[in-house]
Amino acid sequence: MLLFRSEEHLEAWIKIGSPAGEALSVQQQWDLARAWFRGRHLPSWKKRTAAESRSLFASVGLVSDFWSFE
Amino acid sequence: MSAVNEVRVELYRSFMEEERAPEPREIADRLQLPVGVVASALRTLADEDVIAFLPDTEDIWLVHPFCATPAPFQVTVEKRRWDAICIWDALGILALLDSDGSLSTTCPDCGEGIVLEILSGEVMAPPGAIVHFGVPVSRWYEDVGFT
Repeated sequence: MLLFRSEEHLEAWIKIGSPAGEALSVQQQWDLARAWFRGRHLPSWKKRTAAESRSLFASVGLVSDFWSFE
Repeated sequence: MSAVNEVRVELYRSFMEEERAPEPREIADRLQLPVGVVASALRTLADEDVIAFLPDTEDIWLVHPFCATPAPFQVTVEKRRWDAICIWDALGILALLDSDGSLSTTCPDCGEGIVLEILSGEVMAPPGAIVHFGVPVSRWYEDVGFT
């Protein structure tokens, strides 16, 4: 889960043998981080189920099988 | 609250307030629990992928999103500083703290520095900056360092 200067830099990095994976915008990642981590320090926090995680990913537009825990 | 949950909450308190991982003895003293109970709780949290130990040890390495050792992403809030192993965790620290701040890292391709800032809850990034996930979600915890 890395941060690149641009799509061109990401493509160059993949060309030398790194996994193609999936790219997302910084805004998507920020939205995801807020949804995923807020409240994690609280006594009431519970680990999400696979279905809950998939739903959370979908809420920021990540819907392919790449984003499934199952 | 169960001992496992008490230990989990104490781990987060330590990172959020003191910017570090506590030793099991410190956790035991603070929570007034036997060290063996704390050690068992830490193993349970590691089995559940809430935390991770340094390889081949029971030393705390990750309390997601925090990293106890120097790592490629540095998160700063005023004069406070944390390390993170990836962009997901680095932004996660700022989300968890619910604070404005910044993160810095280097582009894996060219090594040039990149800085993101959170201002009034909004993320500010250099034009074109892009996030990459190399490992599918279903395999994230097989090798969390690589992920």
